[in-house]
Amino acid sequence: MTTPSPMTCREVFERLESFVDRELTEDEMHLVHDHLERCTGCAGDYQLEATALEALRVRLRRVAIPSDLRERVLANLARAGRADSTPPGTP
Amino acid sequence: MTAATTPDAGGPPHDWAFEDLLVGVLDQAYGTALRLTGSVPEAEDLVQEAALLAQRGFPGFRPGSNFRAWFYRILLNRFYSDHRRRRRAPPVVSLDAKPEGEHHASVRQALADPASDLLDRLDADLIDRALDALPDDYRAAAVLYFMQDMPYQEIAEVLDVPLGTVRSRLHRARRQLQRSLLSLAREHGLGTSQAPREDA
Repeated sequence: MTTPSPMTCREVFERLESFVDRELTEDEMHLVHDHLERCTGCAGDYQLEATALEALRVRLRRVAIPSDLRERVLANLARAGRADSTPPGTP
Repeated sequence: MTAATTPDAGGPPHDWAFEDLLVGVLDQAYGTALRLTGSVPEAEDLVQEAALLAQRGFPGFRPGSNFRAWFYRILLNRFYSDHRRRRRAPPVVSLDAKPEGEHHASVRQALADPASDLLDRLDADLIDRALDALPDDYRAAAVLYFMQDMPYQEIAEVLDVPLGTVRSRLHRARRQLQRSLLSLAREHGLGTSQAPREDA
């Protein structure tokens, strides 16, 4: 079995998003990880990508959920369920 | 397998199985709907409509399969068919990609500058505007990714597109979001005046 060749900076750069998302194959994850351990430039790019994504994720998730949302949705479903089960023409 | 039901006196059988599954995704579905529509009343309308459609379609749901993906698919379809029509056209934003190195250099410059700490200083309105500027298809992929931590495969299932399309839309959405945020930040006097360092 041959050992995979180390990745170049360009190859790592092209896979950085997928690496952050853990969407690469296991072999590719290892190869990118190995490269980032040796290359400070690419490690900096990785840190940037991960930081920016996490910051966006945190900010976008700041949503005020209405406290009575669940009750309103379930009440609406119950009303719809009663309407659906009422025979047509029933007063 | 039939859904567990309990007869209610004077009413239709209560579908506890559906309700339990729905309650588990409701809050996050609202957050997603809010990011999709950009409007609190529209977000609640969207969630209410999706819940109704899901209730009616629940007999067709395969027990044990991914309820979250199934429900979000209903929600997204409803968004595309109904709410999308009512939205004003988003600002035209060029999706022409800068060379990746150039894009990365400007993002690196802004985010690495400790004086700006850009994303912390951007208020929610600017981030909403950046998200709103994305085309609907890209925004849907981005919202599912950021709000739900959905794996690419699940996003593909929800949006009913190939995996490669999800990768492409997410890549462009993320790049466009970062560019929009940098642009908006500069408009508001955030960021740095330092020259970008050269790419390696």
